[in-house]
Amino acid sequence: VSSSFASIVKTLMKIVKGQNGLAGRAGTALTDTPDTDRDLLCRQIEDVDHASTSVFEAVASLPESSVRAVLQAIAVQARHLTSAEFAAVGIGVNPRRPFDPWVISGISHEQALTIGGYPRPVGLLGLVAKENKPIRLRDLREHPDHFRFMPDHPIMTSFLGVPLRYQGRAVGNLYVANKRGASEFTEHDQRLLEMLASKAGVAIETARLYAAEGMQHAWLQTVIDQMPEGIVLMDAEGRVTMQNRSMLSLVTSDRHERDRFGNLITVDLRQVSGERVSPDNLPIVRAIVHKATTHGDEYVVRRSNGRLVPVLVSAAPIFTTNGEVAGATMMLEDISTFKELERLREEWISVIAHDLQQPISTILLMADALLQSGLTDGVEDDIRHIRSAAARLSRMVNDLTDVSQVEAHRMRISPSLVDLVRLVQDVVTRMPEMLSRTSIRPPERGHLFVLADAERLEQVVANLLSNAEKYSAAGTEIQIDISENDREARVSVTNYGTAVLADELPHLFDRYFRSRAVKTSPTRGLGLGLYIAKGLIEAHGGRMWAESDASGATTTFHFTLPLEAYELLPSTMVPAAEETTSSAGDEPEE
Amino acid sequence: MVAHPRVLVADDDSLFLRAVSKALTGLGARVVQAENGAELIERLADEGPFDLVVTDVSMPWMSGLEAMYASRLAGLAVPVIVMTALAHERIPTKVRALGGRAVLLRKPFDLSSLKAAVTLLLNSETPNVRSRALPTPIDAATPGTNRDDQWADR
Repeated sequence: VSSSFASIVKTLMKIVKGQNGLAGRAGTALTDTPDTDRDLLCRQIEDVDHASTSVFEAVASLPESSVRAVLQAIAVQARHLTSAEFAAVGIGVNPRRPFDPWVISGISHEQALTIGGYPRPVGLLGLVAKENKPIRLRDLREHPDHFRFMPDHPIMTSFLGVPLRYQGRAVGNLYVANKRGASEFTEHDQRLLEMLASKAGVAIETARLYAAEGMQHAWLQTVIDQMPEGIVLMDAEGRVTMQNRSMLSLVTSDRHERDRFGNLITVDLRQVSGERVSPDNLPIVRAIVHKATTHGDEYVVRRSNGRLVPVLVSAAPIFTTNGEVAGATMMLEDISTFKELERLREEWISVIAHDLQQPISTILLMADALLQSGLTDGVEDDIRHIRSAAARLSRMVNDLTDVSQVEAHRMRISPSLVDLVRLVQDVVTRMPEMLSRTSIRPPERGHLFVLADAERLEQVVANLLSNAEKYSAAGTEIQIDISENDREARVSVTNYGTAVLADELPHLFDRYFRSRAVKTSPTRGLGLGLYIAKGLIEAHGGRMWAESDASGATTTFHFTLPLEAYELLPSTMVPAAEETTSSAGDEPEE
Repeated sequence: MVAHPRVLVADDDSLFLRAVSKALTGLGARVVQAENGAELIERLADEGPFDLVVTDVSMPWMSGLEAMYASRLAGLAVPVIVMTALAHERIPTKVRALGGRAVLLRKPFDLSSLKAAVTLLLNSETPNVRSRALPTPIDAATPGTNRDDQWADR
C-alpha cells in the first residue's frame, strides 16, 4: 500500500511539473478548437500525457503495485485533469455484480465505509458501460436513470462518465463529479478523460494480468510450501529457484559440495544401499542435462544427525511449448511412516511364518516316523501325500517371508565365491525329471566364479527351471546358457513350447502373476516365484528379465550377476536403511 | 556311535517335542524331554551326562541358545543340534559361537535331515565337526527351496 501511495505522490508531482510529449500530436488533432482555449487545452493535453505516463509507471512498478493502486492513480489523475471534486474508477460491466475493484478519489476512507459496499454497474453508472460512450450531465439527479443517493453519500451534481476500453471492449468506467469552479464539465474535460481512459484501459489490463499471475504465483508458492513432499525447482540454467519448507527440513548442513551448476548440494541423497548419489547423478540434474525423468525411485536422505530418512524421489524436466528445457522439478516424499509399517508387517510376517513352520515341522516328522513304522502300500502313499503337502505349505510360508523381505529391500544375502557352472549343474542334478531334458552350455573355460549367496542362487535357478518346465511342451529340451562379458555373468534358461505372450512379458515378475500360457499345474504355488527370484538377483546387484519369440515358440529368462563386484558386494549388501528402523535386537525372540 | 545315545530334547511346542522325541527314539536314542530353557539347564545339570542336546531356540524363561552358552561356560562340551523356524539372519553366527560340535537345523526338517545331523555329531570323535554333506531336501523334486536346512560348520 505504501509503495502505491508513493507512486501516486510521484505521479502527482510529475503532473504538476508538466512536460512535452503527447501534447504536440494531440494539439494538431484539435485545430478546430477556438484559439483562446488552445493554450489551456495544450497544457491539459500535456497533463494527460504525463498522467498516462505515470499510470504506466505505476504499472511498470508491478508487482509491488496492484490493480487497485493503478486505478487509484487513474482516479486521482482524472480528478486533477478535470478539476473534479470526486472521481471513481470501477471495473466490471455486469449489472448483477458490484464493480470490483471500485476505487474512489475525493471521499475519505471512513466516509466511503459509511456509504456502504461497492455499487453495481446499474442506473446512471451502468448506462455508461451499457451505452459504451461518454455521458456528461449538468445535474445527474435529473437523469431518469439516476437512483437516489445512499443516506451518507455526498451530494453530486455535475457528472462525466467515460467507458474504459481495452481492445474495443468495455472493461469498466471512469467517473468524475462536481466540477470545481463551474456548473458542469466541458467538452474538453470529456476529451481529456477519454484520452486518459484509452491509456488506462491498457494499463489496467496489464495490471490485471500481473495481479492474476502474481496471485497464481503466490497461490502456487503457498500450495507448494504446504505440501508434505520436499520440492526443488531449477531454471533452465540449473539455478535453484525454489525450495519448499519440507525440502528445507531434509537439508544437511555439513555438506559443502556443489553440483555442476554451482548450487550448494544441501540434501545428502543416497541409494538404498547407502551409496552416495554423485552430484551429476542427482535426479534433478539428470532431468536438466539428460531430460531424464525419475518416477518414485527409492532413496534415503542422510540428515545432519546421521538419521537416514527413506524417500521416494521423482524428478522431471519442464519443457517450454517449443520443446526446450525450461527447468526441472524434483520431489522428495518422506516415506518413513510407510517404511515403519513395512517393517512391522515384515516382523509380523516373520512371526506368523515361524508359528506356521512349527506345526508343519511336526507333521513332517510324524509322517516320516509313520513311514518308518511299516505300513501297507496304500497307507504309505497317503502319508507321502500328507508329507509333500506339508512340504509345499512350508515352501509357501518361505515364499511369503521372502516376498516381505524383497518388498522392504531387506533381503539378506551372504555372498561367497561360487562357481556358477557347478551350481547350475548341481541344481539340475537334484531335479531328476529335468535332468534328461536339460542341456547346459557352460562358458569355454568350463567354470565361472561369482560372488553370490549359493543357496539363494540355487533357489533362483531351481525356480527358473521349474518355470521353464511349466511353459515347455512335454519332452522338449530346456537349454541353459552360462556366459560372461567383462562386466557380468549371465545365465539364460530357454524353453520350447508356448511362448509367453508379448503383453505378459512385463508382468511376469509381478507378484501373484499367472500367465495364460502356463499349463495348469497340480502343484500351484502362490505366483511369487519369479518375483522373489528377481528380488534375489537384484539384491546381488544383478538384473533379471524375460524374452519370448512367438515364431520360434521359445521363452528365455535371463539373469546377470556383476563380476566386478568382488570387493563391493559385502559392504553394499548391508542395507543402509537399517539405521532408520530400530534393530530387532540381538537375541531373536518369538 | 553310541548304541543308545542319551539325548536331551527341548522345545516348548509339546506336539513338536513329541514328534522329535519319537523320531529320535526311532533312531535308537534314549530321550529326556524339557519344555523350556530353564528345564533344559536343570536336566543338563541333574540328569546328565547326555550324548546330545537337541533344542529349540525360542522358549520361555531362557532361549535354547542362552541355555547352551551357559552350559558351555560351565565347561559342558556336549554336542548340540539347534532347531529353529526363525529366519533371523544372526542365528547361524550364534550357533557357530557354540563351537564345532553344534549344528543348525531349520524347521521344518524331515527325518533324514535329523538323522544326518545326529549321525554327524555322534560319529565325530574330534571336537571340531565339519559338515560333509548337504542336507537331504525335504522334497527332492524342488531343490533349493529348502535352503534353510543348512549346517553351521564352523
